Amino acid sequence: MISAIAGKASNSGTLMAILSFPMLIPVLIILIRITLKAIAANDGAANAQDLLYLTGLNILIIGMALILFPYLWRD
Amino acid sequence: MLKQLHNKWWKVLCVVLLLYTFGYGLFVPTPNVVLLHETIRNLFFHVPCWFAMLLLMLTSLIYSVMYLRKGRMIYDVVATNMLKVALLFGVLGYITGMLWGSYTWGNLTSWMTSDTKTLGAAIGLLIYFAYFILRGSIDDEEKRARVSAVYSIFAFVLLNVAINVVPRLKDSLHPGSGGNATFTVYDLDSHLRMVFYPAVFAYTTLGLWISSLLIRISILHYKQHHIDIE
Repeated sequence: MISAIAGKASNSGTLMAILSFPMLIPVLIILIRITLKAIAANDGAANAQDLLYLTGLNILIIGMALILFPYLWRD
Repeated sequence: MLKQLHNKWWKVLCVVLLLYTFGYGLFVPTPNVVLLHETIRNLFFHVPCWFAMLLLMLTSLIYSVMYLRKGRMIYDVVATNMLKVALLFGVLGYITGMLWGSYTWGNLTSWMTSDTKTLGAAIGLLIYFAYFILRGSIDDEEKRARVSAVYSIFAFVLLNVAINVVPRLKDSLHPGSGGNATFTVYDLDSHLRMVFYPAVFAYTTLGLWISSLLIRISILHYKQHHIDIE
């Protein structure tokens, strides 16, 4: 989705990085937290909540991309 | 909508309410809450910034959707100029929040990197800064308008997830989450509310005022190049 947006611009390589960075931070934060818990050998119950957030966020982003992509595609 | 914005009465109201906020807001009796004490007055300066930002972004979102549906250039002009002002309020809200936090939550570095809502706000603002970088890098106007409209819808949803949804699920130092009381609990005699609601209204109308001026400048700019965007 981001690359589709960036692809429309002229210097798409740099723009791709700039646009996707803030979008990736939340995903990265959750992933880091899950990894930390995995290393600390928890029982996995605490991980379930974080995994839920991660899936929720992914579903949201994919859903938005599905709705909005046709507008980008139409040229 | 632009025609109605030429009226004067709401601008006068905005100035009067701003003076009221900055005047009476400094003298209003405060509930003497532990830790907050007199810093509770920042409620009139910090929170309305975010309210105004969110309302301007919502208006901009509506115009972005209208652009994608109708494809008239004027909607794009309105949407992007409102976002400019919204970002200004966002940055102001961030700065006042930093000041407030440094008095009540202690050392800046201890909570800036760990508080959920602060992080969310930083991420949300970054997403919107990227919006302007995106606009700056596309030359074709039609394409720029369409791509940035799509991106701003995307950004609005992510910003709201970052500052409104996640802090309610996770712990945050901010009121209203993590077992912290909201301000209605402290505000027993409604003194704070008497300043707070006018402040929100004043900040929002100030944002509308600035953005309407920006919009009119953009329209003039288009007219100068003999492009009809109405």
